[in-house]
Amino acid sequence: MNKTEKRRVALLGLVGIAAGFAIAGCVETRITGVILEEDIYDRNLMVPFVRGINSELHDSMRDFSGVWWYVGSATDDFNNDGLSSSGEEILEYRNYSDRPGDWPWTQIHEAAWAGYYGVTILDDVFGDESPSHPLTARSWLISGWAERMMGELFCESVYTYGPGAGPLMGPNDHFDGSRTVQIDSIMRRSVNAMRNALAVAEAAVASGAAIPDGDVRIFDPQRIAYAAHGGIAQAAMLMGDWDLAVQHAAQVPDDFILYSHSDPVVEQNGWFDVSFQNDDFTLWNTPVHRVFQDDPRAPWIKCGEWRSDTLRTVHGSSGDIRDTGRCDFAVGYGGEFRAESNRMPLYGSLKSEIPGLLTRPDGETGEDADFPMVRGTEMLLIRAEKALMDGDLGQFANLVNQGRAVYGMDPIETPATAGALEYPNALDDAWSILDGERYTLMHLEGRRYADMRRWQHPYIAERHVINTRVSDENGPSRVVYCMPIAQIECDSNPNLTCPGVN
Amino acid sequence: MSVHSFAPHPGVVPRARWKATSGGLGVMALALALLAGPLSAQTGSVTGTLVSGETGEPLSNVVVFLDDTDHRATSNNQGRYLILNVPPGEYEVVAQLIGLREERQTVTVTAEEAELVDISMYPQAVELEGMVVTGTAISAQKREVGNSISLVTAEELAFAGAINLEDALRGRALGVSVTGASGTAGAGSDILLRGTNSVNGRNRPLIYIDGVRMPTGTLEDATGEAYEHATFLGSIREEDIERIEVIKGAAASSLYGTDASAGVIQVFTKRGAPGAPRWTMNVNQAIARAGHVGPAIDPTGLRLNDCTRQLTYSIEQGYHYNLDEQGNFIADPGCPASGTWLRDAHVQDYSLSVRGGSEDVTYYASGAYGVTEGIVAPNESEDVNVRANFTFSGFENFKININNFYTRRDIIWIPNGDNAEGLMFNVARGDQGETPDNDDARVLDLTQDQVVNHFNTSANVAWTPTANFRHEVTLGLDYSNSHYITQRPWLFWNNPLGTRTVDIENRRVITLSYASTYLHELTDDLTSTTSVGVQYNQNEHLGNRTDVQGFIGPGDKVLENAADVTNYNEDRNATEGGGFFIQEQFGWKNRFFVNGGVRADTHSSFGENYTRDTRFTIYPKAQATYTVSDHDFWPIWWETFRLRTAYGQSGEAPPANGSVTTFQIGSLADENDLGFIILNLANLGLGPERTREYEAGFDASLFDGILALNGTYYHRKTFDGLIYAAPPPSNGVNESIPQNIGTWDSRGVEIGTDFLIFEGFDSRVSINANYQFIQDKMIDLGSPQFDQFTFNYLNRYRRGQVIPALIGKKMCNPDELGTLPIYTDDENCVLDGVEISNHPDTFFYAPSRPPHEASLGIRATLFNNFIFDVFGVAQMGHWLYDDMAQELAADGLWPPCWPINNAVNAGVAAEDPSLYAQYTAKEIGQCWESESDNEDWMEPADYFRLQSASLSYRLPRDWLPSRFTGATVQFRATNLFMITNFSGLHPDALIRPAQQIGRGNGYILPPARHFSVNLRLNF
Repeated sequence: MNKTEKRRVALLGLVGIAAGFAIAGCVETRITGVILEEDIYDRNLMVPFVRGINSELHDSMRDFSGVWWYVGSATDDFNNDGLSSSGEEILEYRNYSDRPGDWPWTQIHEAAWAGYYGVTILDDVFGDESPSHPLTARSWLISGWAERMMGELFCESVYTYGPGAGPLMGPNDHFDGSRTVQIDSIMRRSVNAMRNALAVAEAAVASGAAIPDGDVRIFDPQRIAYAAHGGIAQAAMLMGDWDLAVQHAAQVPDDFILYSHSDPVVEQNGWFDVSFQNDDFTLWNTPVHRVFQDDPRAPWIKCGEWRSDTLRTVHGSSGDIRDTGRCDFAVGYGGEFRAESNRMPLYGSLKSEIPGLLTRPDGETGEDADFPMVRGTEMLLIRAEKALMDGDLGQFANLVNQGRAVYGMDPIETPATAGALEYPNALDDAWSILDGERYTLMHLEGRRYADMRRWQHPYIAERHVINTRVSDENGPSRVVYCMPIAQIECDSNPNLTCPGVN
Repeated sequence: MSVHSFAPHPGVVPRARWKATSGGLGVMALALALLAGPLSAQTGSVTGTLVSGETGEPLSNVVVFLDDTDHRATSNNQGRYLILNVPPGEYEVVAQLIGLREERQTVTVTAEEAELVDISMYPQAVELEGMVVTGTAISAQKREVGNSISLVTAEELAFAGAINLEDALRGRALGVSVTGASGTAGAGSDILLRGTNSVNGRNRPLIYIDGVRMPTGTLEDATGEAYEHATFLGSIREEDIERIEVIKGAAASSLYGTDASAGVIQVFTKRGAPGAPRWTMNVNQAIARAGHVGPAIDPTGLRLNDCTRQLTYSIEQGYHYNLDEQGNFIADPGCPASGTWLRDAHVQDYSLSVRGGSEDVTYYASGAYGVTEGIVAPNESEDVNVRANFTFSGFENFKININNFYTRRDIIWIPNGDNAEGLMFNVARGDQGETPDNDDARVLDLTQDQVVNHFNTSANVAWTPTANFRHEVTLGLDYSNSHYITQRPWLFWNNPLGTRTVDIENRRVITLSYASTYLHELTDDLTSTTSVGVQYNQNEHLGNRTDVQGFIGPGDKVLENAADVTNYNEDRNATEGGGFFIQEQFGWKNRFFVNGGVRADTHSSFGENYTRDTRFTIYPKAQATYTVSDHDFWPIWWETFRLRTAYGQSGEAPPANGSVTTFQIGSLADENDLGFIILNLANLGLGPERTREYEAGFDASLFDGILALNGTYYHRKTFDGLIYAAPPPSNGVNESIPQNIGTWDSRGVEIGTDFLIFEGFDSRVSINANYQFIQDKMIDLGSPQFDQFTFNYLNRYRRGQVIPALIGKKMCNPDELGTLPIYTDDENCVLDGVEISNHPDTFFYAPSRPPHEASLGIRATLFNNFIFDVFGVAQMGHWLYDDMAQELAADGLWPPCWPINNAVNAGVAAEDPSLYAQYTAKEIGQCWESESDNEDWMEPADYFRLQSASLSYRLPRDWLPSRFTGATVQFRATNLFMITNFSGLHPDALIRPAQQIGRGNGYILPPARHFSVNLRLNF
């Protein structure tokens, strides 16, 4: 090869390589018909973007397999309702021989992730405005609520996402997908997100920021601030940090309530689906039917006697169905499980034996009905519980009655004794009153499980405790007041070892 | 400086290696012949025609010389040669052309006489000097290439008589598996190279034509009522093909990078040659006949062969026909006037091609028109093909090839398959079909018309500034358009309002490539070849489909005649990819070659984290080949022995939307509630599915070419396999996304042999036999979520099993007489002394793709005029689920089952098992309506098929008018008979063979027998 040829070879080789790199710099995929992430980076699109994030939270609640369902199945929310799995399934989880909860596990994670993800996008799009923008505050709120739900339902969790390590979020190894994070740490994550929500919302209020889209239900920064206070109180209580809980609970107005708000995509509210739509679900013989019959916080109604005065919310496009009275033709499927459970009056026989006694949760009348996430009345009960723990029964009664007044209920007498969460017990001691107040206030809202855990609480109904169940081949019964990491995580996370499964 | 590797044999001029210089010599020789008369007063001449012994086609560029003299010539475009001024005497005429065996004939030259020596030439037993292109930097001699390449020549295609181009490759190219064959005109078959390559990716090989990429796989089929598809490969006309090169796996396809792990098929079309125009006209007329359909015991062929009578069965009368009150047969309502749904279909095909040119410009042009009727009216495919290839060689050091083709296919499909609106579904079910009043003719009121326009153009520029330095640039465009209309007319039985679906799909593939090769002689024995190249490909798809319903009144409709739009869909997407390669090859004494190289590749579907640092992924390759027989010590009777080995990696691109985060819009009626919902979370680490492959093999010929053998063993492993799986929820979003998590491997053996049985008396008889074994196995699906993927027709990809596998519950007592079947669900089932799990899907039956394939061809050329060719193929070792037989048996409609079903019913009712004591549990399981399960109808699907048999006769030259240089009449029969124990319609009539992973059988018209006569004229 002479010099000229060598130069040619070198030149052409370089040209070829350069052309290759040029190609690498230019190649792109073009897809139409979908919205790409890059399309989202537009401040005019941030409202629908955050509405979408908001719907992720609602997803975790709404479905038939949502949080409300698992908690209801595991607790006295459904006890003796006649549904096939009510109040019994949790016993099957005690040795982790089964790992339920795929839906809430995935949806809660998705909601928490979506909130953090939303903040990063909002920060990018709004720049300096983001720390005082109501949309950013709502996005933080979503993550905070989701983290709270995670800790309320599951015993532990794993994460690969979040806003980064720190005192509240935990060390870096809490983000490696193989380290399990315990309930206290989960609640710290919730507090962290809520504090951010609070800071941004207060900054938005201070700056006089307009309410995006004028939608006060979701984007009013003042309401977000109240909700963040409430969220901190909820999580702090579950962490056992009562001072923090009470401090923030006191910031929430008594009549305040904020909802998850429904998915922009029309999805069935699970309650509505199984009760009004499919007639599978009844409150007959549950505690709210037998013990708290006229409590407006846990309304129910007989088939054919629909009433409108106890409705909590009326949303949705399907119209008011209270008058349809569809209880006569639907067929429940609980009957086939009767022999197995042998304790519950089952829906199929119930219908034939006691016509007209079908009951339904009367608060859920639309397929897109919302779920309450924070109430001022719950904050009063947090403060009342702290007063009870401090031995101040008078303050306890005052705070309880302050909440009952919101619902137009008669006040209670100041209880003579604090009592204890042991059964059988009296219904008029302070702890029993608190138990009933929280039970009815948050009935079927997916909250009962956490109360039972922190109180090591047996069922209210029938006055029997759940750990009396006999032993079987899996060994002695063990009460587990939280759900194990869901099977779907164990199956798909190669870095995680799930006891009893892997 | 010498360039060793381009001088393969002394005296042989390489054909179109780097410079086309020899083609004009024949023309010059002929011209000299006109001028040389006075000079040859004391000499004679030798002249004649060189033809392919296999096809009779004239051979141009053949070097003809008189041994031990300087007298030589080159054959022209008509295959003619002329050697002038030969002194009288006896000579040996020698003819040489790369790829063909050297031929010698003795001639005695007399003064002032022209001696006529016509020579027929045949392929070499093992040919190492010819050039191959696919998988090499630009091109290389076969002896330099370490991987195996399967070649299918025009000669072989001429005898194939295949139902489509895919079928023409069946059994003729080692490593190629072709499955699926039907009697439906226009339908394509499936091609896999070395078995299953991917799970969620593309299994089909890349298709190149003259260096330009084409779409792979099937054209869209809109509503899917036909259950069969046309393929892009069907646009290429076999008569235009010069050769097909097939490289089968990653060991060979590294330089193609991403997209090439399933192998590459490259089609080279014919080119012109200097000389006067040489015309070839083909006229082909054929009859396609279905033969008997279905079980032999049913003379009506499931009512398809004969719908004038209805076969039935009773215990008392046995098989008999339903009669009306007058004792006449009862015909099926809707039965055509001919009394059969099947017809003797007419296949006609006409083509005219011309090749010729000057030293500066050569051309090949062809036009063809054909109509192929299916065996059920109105199915047909009407094809028009036009091709124009040009080569410009008149520039200094430049050569330019321009290739163009346009194909239009107008296919009328019939509704068929496992489809309530399908023909076979309804006809075979008699009055239990779906059509009102069993009038199955109304099925054909549903019309499906597909028009395919396919255009391909390419330009290839070769620049050879010095004898050892070459550059090539190729620019190509492939554009296809499919316009598919499905219409249910007004008052259609299954939708009285009528529907219409218009599906318009446009695909554009752009190819741009550059490659450069430099050869350098390091020492007298050692050479170096350095190659670099860069490629770019773009695939664009624009699709638009609209479904409407509701017509008022009869007549042809368009979309706007409809009352409602029920569905509309628009697809617009494009992907791009490209990269560059560097390769270095060292050669020693032209007998040992070793090369290594890397392809650096990028693709728009890669996640941004995958190639964050380099933007490229690297595919390495290494090869070595050693022609041991070139050593002096090698025994002379073993004239050729070459060892070769290759290692390489290539990839499969991830799906276009796998590496991007996308949202969908959710909204209530209130537009203020508009929200963006996350639809898909990007896998930023998404990369290509990577396959690495080792192969080793040999090529040998012995006993002066009487026996030729080649063998290859390969082991391929795919890692980072693309599988749609949801990441752990703790990642945030749990939607299934493509991930690089699967692992599977494949190994196999390919053996080919040619045996020359007899040669002499102007006759020659040879046998060709191929065998290949493939075993694909799933190692890991990558996620504990998946133990298996389940596809339709009981096909599964299961960890640790052969893929695709038929897996299901198993009958414990198949051969037990007079017993109802016991499945593994029963606790006491014991097989081979081992208690079987109660899991219903425990048992692996067999792979559903054939692990063993073999072919056998015999070709006899008699007296240089008659050619008899027989070719058969076998596929073995696989099972199929017979969807049609199972469904019909379960409904009491499968004729062989009637006696069994009646007997068991009677025995069960009477509680008397003796009434069915003569039947095995397997038979009862298949046939008793109460028991017929899917697994009962999984059966071995081994078959041997006589694919083609032909007799060709070359008319003697003196029979032809002077303007004609050759004429051949060929009588051909295809698909003459089959040997199989498969009880279904046909073991290779598969449902959607080129589209579905799950392989199922039934409801597809079996391939017809074709009887054709073909006349080919050269002038």
